[in-house]
Amino acid sequence: MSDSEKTDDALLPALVSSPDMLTRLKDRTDARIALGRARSGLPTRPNLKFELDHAMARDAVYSELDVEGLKASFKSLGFEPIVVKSQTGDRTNYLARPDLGKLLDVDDRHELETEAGGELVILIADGLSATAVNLNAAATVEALKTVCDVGMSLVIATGARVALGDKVAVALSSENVLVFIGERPGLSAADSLGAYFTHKPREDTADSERFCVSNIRDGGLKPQDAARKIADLIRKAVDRGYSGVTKRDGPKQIED
Amino acid sequence: MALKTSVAGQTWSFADLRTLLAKASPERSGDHLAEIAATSALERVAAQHCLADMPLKVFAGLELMPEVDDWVSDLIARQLDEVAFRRISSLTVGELREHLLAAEPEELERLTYALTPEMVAAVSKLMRNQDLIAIAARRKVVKKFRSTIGLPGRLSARNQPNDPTDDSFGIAASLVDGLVMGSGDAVLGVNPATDSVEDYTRVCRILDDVRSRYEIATQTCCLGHVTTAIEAIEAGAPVDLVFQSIAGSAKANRSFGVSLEILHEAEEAAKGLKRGTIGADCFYFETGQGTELSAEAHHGVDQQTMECRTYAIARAFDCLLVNTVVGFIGPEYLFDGRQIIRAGLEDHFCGKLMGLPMGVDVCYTNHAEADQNDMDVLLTLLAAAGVNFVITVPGADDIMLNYQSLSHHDLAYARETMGLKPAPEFLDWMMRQGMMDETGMLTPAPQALADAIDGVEKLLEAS
Repeated sequence: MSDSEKTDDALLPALVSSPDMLTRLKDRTDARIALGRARSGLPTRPNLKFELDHAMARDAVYSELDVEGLKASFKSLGFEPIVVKSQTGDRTNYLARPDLGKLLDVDDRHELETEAGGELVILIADGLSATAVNLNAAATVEALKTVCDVGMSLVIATGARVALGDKVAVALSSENVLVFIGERPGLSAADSLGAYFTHKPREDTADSERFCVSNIRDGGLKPQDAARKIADLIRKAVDRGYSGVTKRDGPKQIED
Repeated sequence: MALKTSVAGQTWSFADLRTLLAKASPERSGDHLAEIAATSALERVAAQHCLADMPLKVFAGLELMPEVDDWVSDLIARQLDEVAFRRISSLTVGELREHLLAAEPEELERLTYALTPEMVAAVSKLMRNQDLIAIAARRKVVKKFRSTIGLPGRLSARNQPNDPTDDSFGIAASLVDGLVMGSGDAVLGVNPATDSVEDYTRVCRILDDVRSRYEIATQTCCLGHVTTAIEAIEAGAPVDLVFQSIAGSAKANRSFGVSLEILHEAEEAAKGLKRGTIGADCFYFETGQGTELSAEAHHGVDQQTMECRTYAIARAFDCLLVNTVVGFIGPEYLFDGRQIIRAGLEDHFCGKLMGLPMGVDVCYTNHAEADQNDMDVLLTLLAAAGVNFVITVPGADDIMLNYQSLSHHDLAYARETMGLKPAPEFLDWMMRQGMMDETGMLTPAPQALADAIDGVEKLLEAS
């Protein structure tokens, strides 16, 4: 029986009255259901579990890139990493001013302009979870090297938003940029890495012009599987001459 | 007229009305991001002084952004009730604040169409949180479909059983989890993961199956795009409420794929089904400060004034529910708990004053400087302000939209602590199920249920 037909059964009384169904109820959703209650209050254990998950997410937002460790990892993969920063300054300003996280520090931009990026620039960016990058970026890049045979260079950036990759690629005169960036931490996972690929990036690339692979982490999309997906998307973009979607599916065009 | 004032031995002048409104706004990150905020505490207060002395006449027939051809502005101009306005036309914004503080409920209701969104935004900028609560508490807006939402002494909730893949079982499980805690009298409403007509229809059917099978006195809604809803209705989907996110400028609405015509078409389609039993209020709107800036469609207007302009659209329809998704947008618009709390109270107050059945999604994201304590404060203040409804999810964790809304427990806390009941029809249903007593208190039965679930889980962990 497919999911779409299940509500034809008398679902509610079964869920409410039968312990068998209650088990299945809790097993088959990640939602925090059936927490119990103390009068109207949340029992201590689920309350602390929530606090734990939120604390991990908060710490991930304020985590810092392990720049030295990452440099060493990428050197061992044959890269000569360049380290740059955005114009945000501290973390508080990073959160309040996403516009500045998309702009390269002026000195760093000048330095990049003296370098050559090769066919594909990989930007390793902290984003909203440096933890995700520290944990997953090296493994994903290593896996990518085995399935994607193009000339790559690598830049590490702090205070970065996705669109910083466009500026890095333009400064390095590269036709392709792949940004690995820490995703906004959720309560269930604070270590998800996102990958955004842009073919022929410009200063004003729209988000719809990128391919995205998300939830890269051990408990989500494994680095090896993510690498294969990314390699396929890169080939697709280069073959057809653009990344992202041509036209948005969805609501009809509205005139006003 | 000159936008000038003298405060603290200095003369302050403001280029135009939108600049003045932006500078007079209580501080929030979005106005800084837009580079229109006051640059010092003194400049903010100077702007508030200047605004307080502005005659309301300046706002009537006002072109806030004259360089833009904008259907929201046209709608606002059409909505002004000139006769009702004449009674208050001699007041300044500062005097309007005092008039509202002193007004009886009947007077607040009479002023609904005498006030434009810009007047409402302006007066709110002169108010403390306390004023926003006190006046809103006297402005009741009651709407009906299968239940009555907004009555005095009541607090309703949207039960929001979202699932990351729209899995039927996942939706049903979360739905039941909320129902036994008394959530769902405002609506059983799912944000679908996709915008296909097929998934929209399936979600509608799940919700409608549960609702009709157990004769729950409430309404259902799949929060897909209005164009999806129109197609699904044509194909026979059981649609109670149609839903749309809206914003305060034509350009921002275009980014949502929304025009006034398409909204009217959706309302007509939903009304044609005649599914409401005690009323026909069938639109559900969501809004939120910062929407316009994020669409680069704010035209130099501050985000709170833009939010009020959005309400002009909502009140052109028979809506059962309107809510601001106040903390969802992120710290670049509302930085921390303090800004989220302020914005939640503003949105509720301004919406109510404009005659909307206002609810609030009391919520935050993990990159905002906010936590559960901030949500407790906002919920408690909104309950005091007489908010029509809030939104609840299992354990405050929306696993599909990845943000924290209120938990079903939070709803029970607010009702019990402040002596508020669910909608009368829903309360009857809860009592028939043995899940609530006549005072709106949850009965021990769901406790036993929860214990059973808990016990089963512990057994599983042990095995």
